[in-house]
Amino acid sequence: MNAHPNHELLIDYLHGELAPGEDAAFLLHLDECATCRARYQEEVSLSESLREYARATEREFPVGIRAAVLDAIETGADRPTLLERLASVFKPAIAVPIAAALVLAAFLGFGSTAHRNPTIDAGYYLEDHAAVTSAVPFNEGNTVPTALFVTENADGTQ
Amino acid sequence: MARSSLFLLCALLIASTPAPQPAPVDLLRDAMSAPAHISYVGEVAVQHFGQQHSDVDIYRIEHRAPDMTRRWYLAPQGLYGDSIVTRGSTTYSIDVKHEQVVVSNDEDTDQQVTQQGNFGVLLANYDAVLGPNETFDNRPVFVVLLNNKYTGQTTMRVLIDRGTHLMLLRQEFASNGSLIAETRVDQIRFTGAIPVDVFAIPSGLRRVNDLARGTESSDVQHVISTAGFAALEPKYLPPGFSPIAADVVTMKDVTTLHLLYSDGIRSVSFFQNEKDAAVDLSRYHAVATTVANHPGHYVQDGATTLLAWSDGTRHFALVGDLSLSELEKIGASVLP
Repeated sequence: MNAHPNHELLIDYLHGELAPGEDAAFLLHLDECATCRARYQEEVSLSESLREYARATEREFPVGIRAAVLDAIETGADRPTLLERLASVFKPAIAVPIAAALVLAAFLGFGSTAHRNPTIDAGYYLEDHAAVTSAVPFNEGNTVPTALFVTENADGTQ
Repeated sequence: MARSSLFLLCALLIASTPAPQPAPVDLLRDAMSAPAHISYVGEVAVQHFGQQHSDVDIYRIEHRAPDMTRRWYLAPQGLYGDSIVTRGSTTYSIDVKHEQVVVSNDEDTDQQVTQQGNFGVLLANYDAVLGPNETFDNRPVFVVLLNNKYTGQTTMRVLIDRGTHLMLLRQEFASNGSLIAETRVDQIRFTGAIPVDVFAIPSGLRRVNDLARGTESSDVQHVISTAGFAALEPKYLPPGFSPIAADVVTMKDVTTLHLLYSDGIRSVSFFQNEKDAAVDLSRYHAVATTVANHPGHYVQDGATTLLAWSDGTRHFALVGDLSLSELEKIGASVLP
């Protein structure tokens, strides 16, 4: 790739949308062209600013809610839940707002009061082991740092 | 006439006498320290041959002596374009897909001292023997074999460049003689002109600090005494293995003790914590097993195996490049 890539190509590269050959050619060009590197960095900064803004205006969904829902499914899958029993007493018009209020209450922290033992990610152990064994003689690059592992959930999110 | 013939004979004898071969231990020592004064670029392939599958990482390497290195990944596909830049004791893992840089710092660890200590353990457990000279990637190399003193088997084969004493090939073998890991440096070119810019960290990426890591110490018993709980140690270790280092780290309010055992080539880490904090294996393909009748799981990551189990009151984990059966044997010897 000798000519400067156009803006569209740059955006596609940034989002990993290029075909492997194009991607490699673009990367090579970036390595050699200071002008395009600067354009690329501008785009990266802009993307990052947008992400920062999105993060700043977004509230994380508490882990407690997910855990509570999974617990409820596990322990009471075959019998009506408290919510269902209440729903049979109250009309939906009343039951729905109650359910919403329960979810909101969980969101605001009631869920976090449930005691759960912490867990340690296996990746930490693997990485800690790799870090100390890097001092084993002739251990050049024996292990890829866990930081670079592609960690995707089953639903494809990261 | 007789005198000139004698001179000619002497000259022929001197010319035909092969250059003395260096001691293999000196070659290994030189190979360890060579990157501190040799700059080079090349392509590195790290392969692990597991029981069920094999994997390979390939990266371009640019090393500027003494301590600046950039590794730029070409394979596997998931790592393509990622890179790791090491500047002294700081490592930057540049993850382009997630647009972040993970920064880790090992400034508390004197890696050279640790490496020298491990080299001492290696020499205590392995005999270094020179093999027949070879060429590798069109370069003449020395061949050094490391034979286990307990089993007599060759555990490692190292090819060392004759000119620079850099390691160009490292092969590790299992106890049955099969090849389990190989690191090779191809297309190597020695240069003193790698610009410092190569080791610059791209701007515009989110910076994330790596997980806190304990300060490693070779005073293992002292670290155990500072853990704050009654730590257990395995009563069985494979021949030649001894405690090398330890560290204590607190994560999520859980104090975890890490003990490292090694025979100089192979190594195993033993983790335990004061609270009932299980190992989260949800990101890995975990297989159920038992350790001395206690339920456990193991995961395999290349040649590295992680074995996690609980004795009902505490959770333990072993991580190492030993076989699963060896890890289970070590785990079964962890008794109060």
